Amino acid sequence: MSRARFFVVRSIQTVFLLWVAFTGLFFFFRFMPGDFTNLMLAEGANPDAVAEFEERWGLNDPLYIQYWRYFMNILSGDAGMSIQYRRPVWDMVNTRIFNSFILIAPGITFAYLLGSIYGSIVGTKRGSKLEEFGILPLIFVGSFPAFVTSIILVIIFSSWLNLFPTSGMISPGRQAEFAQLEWYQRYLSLEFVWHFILPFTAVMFRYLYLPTMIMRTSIVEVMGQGFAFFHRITGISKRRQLAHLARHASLPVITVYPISMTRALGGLVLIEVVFNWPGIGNTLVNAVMVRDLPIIQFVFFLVAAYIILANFLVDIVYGIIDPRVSVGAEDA
Amino acid sequence: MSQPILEVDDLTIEFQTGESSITAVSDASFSIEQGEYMGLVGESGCGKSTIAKALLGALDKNGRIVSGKILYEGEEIQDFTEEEFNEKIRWKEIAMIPQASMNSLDPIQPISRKALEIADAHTDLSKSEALDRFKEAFEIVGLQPSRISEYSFQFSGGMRQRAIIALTLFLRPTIVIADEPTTALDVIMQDQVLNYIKKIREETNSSMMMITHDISVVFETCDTMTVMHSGQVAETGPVTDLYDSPTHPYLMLLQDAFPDIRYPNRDLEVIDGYPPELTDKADFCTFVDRCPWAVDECSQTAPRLESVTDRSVSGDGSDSTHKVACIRKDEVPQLNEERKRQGRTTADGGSDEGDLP
Repeated sequence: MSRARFFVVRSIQTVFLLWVAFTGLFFFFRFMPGDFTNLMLAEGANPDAVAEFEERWGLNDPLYIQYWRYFMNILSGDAGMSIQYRRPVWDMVNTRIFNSFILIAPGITFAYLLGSIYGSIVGTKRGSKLEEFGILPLIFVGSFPAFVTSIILVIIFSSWLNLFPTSGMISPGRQAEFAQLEWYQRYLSLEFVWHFILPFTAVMFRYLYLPTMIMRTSIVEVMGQGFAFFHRITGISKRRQLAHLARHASLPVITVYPISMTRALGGLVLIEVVFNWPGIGNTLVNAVMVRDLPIIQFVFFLVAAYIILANFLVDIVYGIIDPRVSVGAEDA
Repeated sequence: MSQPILEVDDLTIEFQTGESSITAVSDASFSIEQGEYMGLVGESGCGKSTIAKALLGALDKNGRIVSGKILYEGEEIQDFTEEEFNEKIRWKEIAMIPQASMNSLDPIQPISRKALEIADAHTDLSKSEALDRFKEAFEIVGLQPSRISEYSFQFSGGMRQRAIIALTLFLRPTIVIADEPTTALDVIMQDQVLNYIKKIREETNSSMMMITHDISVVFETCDTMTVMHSGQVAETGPVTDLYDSPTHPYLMLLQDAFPDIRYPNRDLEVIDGYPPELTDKADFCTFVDRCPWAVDECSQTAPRLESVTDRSVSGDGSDSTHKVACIRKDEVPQLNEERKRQGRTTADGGSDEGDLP
C-alpha cells in the first residue's frame, strides 16, 4: 500500500543518488589538476612513453567515451586496474575495505545501542545525581580526537597491563598460517578478536556520547507528552510504558546514526594508523598522492555508496517505527 | 441512602518544588454515588485536576497525599502502589478522559492496539472480543468502527477526543473522570461531546466526575456538583440546590458572574482578587480576601463542610447532601439579598432587571 510506495520511492531515489555520486566523482577527478602522466614526466619519462601510456589506457578518447566505458565496467563488476601497481583495483582494496568496515560499523552501532540504553536510564532518573554527572565522562572521552583515545588505550591496556596486542590484526608470527585459510576464517578466530577489542573500543567510546545525550534529552521530552500520562493512567505495566517511550525517543537517535557513521569514516584513518590496522585509510592516502585514479574513484564511490545506503536504511527503519513518515506520505 | 461508590475524605495534597512546597488540595471532601454525575468546578489552579490524578494514583513525582482518605467501594486506595493501582483501580474501575485528550494518543500506535493493550492488562477478553467491544464504543461516540486500527494523526482533533472517550468507555468502568472534556473545542464540538457524554449515561451505568470551569456545562449534565476554591471545597450538593440556593459567598458571586438566559442584558459581575497561593495546609478560609462578608474569624480557622439545614427552599430531605464550608452560612444568604437590593438602588432601578418574576 502506501507504505510499500514509500519504500519503492526511496529505493529509486537511492539508486539515483548512487548514480549522481558515481558521475560526480568521475568528472571531479578528471577536472582536478595533475594526473599520473605529470608524475611520469616529473620522474624523467620521455614524451613517447607518455603518449604510448595515454594511448594504452584510452586517455585520448573523448571524456564521455571514457565515462561510458567506466560506467559499463563498474556495472559488470570490473573496477579497473591500479595505474601504480598494475593490479586489479578490486583485488587491492577488497579485504582492506572489509577490515575498515568491520571496525566502524559494529563500533558505531554498538555505541548507539549502548548509548540509547544508557541515555534512557539517565533520562528517566531525572533530577538525580546520575542525570547530573552520568554523561560527563562520555563527553570527556568524546572531546578527544580518536587517535588520542587510541594511544591512551594502547598505553594502558597493551604496554602497562599487557592484555592486548599493540597493533595489527593478526600477529606477524601467524600470518602464514592464516594465509592458508579462506579469507573470512580469520575474522572468526580468537586471534582476530584479541586484536579487535582495543580499536573497536576506541571507535565506540569516541562516539558514545552523542547517542547518549540525544536519547536522554529525547526521553525527558517524551515523558512530558500527553500520551505518556495516558499510557500511565491506562494501567499498563511499567515495562510496556518504557518500551513505548523508548520507541518514540529513539527516533532522533536513529536520525543521527548515519551522520556518526560518516564522521567515524573521517576519523578512521588516524585510528588505523595508531593500531596499524590493515584498513583502507593508508591505501587511499597513498593513492591520492600518486593520482592513482582507478583506486581513488572506486574507494570514494564505495564511501559515498556506504553513506547513501546507510541513509536509505535509516529511512526504512524510520518508516517502520514511525508511521507518520510512511503512511502520512500518502496525504502529502 | 446507599454507600457512595467513591468517597474523598479530608484529602490534602502537597507538591514539593525545590525547597518549598505548595498545597494544591486542602482537606477536600466529597462523594459520588453509583450512576451519579458530579461536576467538579473551580477556577484554574484550584486543585481539580490534582484530585483527579490522585484518584488514579497518577500524581506527578513531586506530589503526595499528605493526609486524608480516598475510599473506592469502601476500600482505602490513597496509599496504593503503582502496581496496586494498575491491578485494582485503573481503567476497569476508574477511567479518565484526560485534559488535552487530543494529545493523549500515542502517535505511533494504532488506536486499536492501544485498546488491545488496555484489555490485555485488565481483562481476560480475547482479542476479537476486545475489538468488538471497542468497535461498539467507537460507534457510541460517532466514529466509524472500520477506522479503529488507524493512527491518531489520521484523525481530526475532535475525532481524537472522541477516540479517547471510546478508549475510556470500552471496558465499562464504574467511574469515568472527564477532565475538561469540552475545553479547547469549538461550540459545535462541545455540544457534540456533551451529547456523547449524555449518551454514555443512557447506555452504561457509569458514574462520572466531570471537571470543568464552565458551570453551565455542569448544570446541563450533572446531578451533583462540588465547587472548589484554592484547594478547599466551598460547597457541594445536588445541582438544583446549589443553583437555587447557593450558600457559599463564592458561589453566590459566581452566579452573578455568569450569563443567565433569563436576564440576557444584565451586566456580569467580577469577583475581585485572586486565590491565595498556599505553602501550607490552609488553616483559614481561602476565600477570605475576596469575600465581601468576611469577619476576623474567617482567617483564623478553616471552615468545616457542614450540611445546609435551615433553608426552606427544598424541604424534601435532600438537604443533608447539600453542604457548605462557611462559618457564616446561616447569615450569608440574607446578606446577599441585602447586597442585591443595594446594588439595585444604587444602579437606579437597573432597567435590565425590571422584568424580574
